[in-house]
Amino acid sequence: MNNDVTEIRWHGRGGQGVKTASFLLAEAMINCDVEAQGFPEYGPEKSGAPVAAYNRISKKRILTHTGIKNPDVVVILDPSMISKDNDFKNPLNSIWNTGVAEKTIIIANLPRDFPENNCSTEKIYTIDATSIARKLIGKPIPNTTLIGVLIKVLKLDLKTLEKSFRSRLEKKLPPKIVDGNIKCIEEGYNSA
Amino acid sequence: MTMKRVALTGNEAMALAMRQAKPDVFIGYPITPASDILSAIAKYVANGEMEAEFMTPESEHSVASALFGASSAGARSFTCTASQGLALMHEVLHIISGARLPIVISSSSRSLSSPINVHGDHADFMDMRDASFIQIFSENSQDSYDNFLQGVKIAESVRLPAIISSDGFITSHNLEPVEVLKDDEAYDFVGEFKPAYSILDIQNPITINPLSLPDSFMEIKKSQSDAMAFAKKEIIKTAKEYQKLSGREYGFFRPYKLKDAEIAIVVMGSTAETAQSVIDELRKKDVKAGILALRVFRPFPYLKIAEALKNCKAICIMDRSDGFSGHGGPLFVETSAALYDLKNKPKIISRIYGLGGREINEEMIKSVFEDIKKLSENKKVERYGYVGLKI
Repeated sequence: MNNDVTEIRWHGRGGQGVKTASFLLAEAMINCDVEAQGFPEYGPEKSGAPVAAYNRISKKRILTHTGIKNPDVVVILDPSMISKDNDFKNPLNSIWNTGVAEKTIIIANLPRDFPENNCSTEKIYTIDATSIARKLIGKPIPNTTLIGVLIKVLKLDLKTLEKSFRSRLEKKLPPKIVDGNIKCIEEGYNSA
Repeated sequence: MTMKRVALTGNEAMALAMRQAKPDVFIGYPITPASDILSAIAKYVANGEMEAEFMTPESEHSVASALFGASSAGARSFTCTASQGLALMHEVLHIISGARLPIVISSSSRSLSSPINVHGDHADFMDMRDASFIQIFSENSQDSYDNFLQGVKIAESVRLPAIISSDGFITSHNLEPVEVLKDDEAYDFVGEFKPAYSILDIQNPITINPLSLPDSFMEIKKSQSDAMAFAKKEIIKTAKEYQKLSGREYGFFRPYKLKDAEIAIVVMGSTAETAQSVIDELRKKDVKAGILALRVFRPFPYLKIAEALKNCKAICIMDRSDGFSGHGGPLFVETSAALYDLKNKPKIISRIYGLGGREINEEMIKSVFEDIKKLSENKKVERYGYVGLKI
């Protein structure tokens, strides 16, 4: 409804860090004196089940408390949510392509190409975030690499946000894993 | 006074306020969507950041019973719960309020079974409307924090228990900016709990929760009723004190463009904020629309609501629970009673929305305003209906 707000929708499966991604971003933005929301959509809370999370970022106070229907950015954490035929209209893609318009930016964790001519969107960024995460943190959790891509796409300053990312991750993870995740963010950022 | 701006979910904001109010006792049992409050408290206690006696008994009925004992001994006693957990406490809630024990509950409102559903609506909050608790509802995480600190002060000053709630998941699990007070500032505001009586004061022995037969029962209930009516003064007094400290204004409700409104909604919780952009759009089209966002449900501010709505032509009261009166939602029924004494009564309709976490968005709120507009033009509109229904 409000053009001053950037709306981001995250899609993945339980265990891939969908909620954590939206919370990392929201907290980092709030710490930079920007208005932001981060919230998950809860369904059956099972590992492997499709889950979504949302972010709103704005200079003005955010008063809307609804899910995001027409996102500015869609981030897909799980490659199995994207059909292999690259057909945007394939029913499998309906999990994430609902409300996606021409101007919507798509960021996908995909170890293969995603031909843009089969999609209605103009900007698609793909990255093999699972392999990067395996290499840098030893676990196939793609969220932080994709955050890196998103920061670059939104033209945000990585250095200012990194401190917030680190402090939130440190609350739950051992130092080695935190360092690995920060490297993931940097690798995602530099590759976009 | 220095406010710090931090990112907190509604549940985290509530847990922080609970820690800052320094309870002597915290007793809890986890339940979605309030479990995060309990785990935050457990962490505070384990880290030595909270000195409370922390107990996790086998059910919510036992939680409420143990709280009764703790509060009788003069301890500042808190818990958190929702939905079936709050329902399981129900028997004891009446005993707590009847014994005038100022226990404070933080809650993230959720639907009641059956069918099983873990998502947000106001059924649990409304289910306890005769339990003689001060009942306050929050629109966002900031409100959750501010309302809890105020709730403790109000409860202890009028010796009635209180529940402070917000929309389950929508507010409880939404990370957003919250301005928080320093620990000592928050505690100084709430103040030390000075219990009127303590069962541990053996120099002045008392009986708590005695048998009271027809010769005395009504007088005790009248004093309880007077306390609830008196709470209105304390709520406003406390809000003014809190405003001095925080700069944020609170009252019985939060009006939005209501002063000159011809049509309006009465609504509680996060939906009141979502509705603001709908009002802004309607105002651009010269439709005089407004919102009354109710904060205090018990004591119900009948006179203030009537005063605020007296110039409206038509109103929709939006309820996030049905209440099953067969006539309209619980907030509708109460608001209708508030308007009864007005000379020129606005026309009213009841709309039920958002049950069990069903989305309520700007489009749906717009459709409600279309109905209110028709009603104001004397056109026929369904009196009691559901919004966002698939059938």
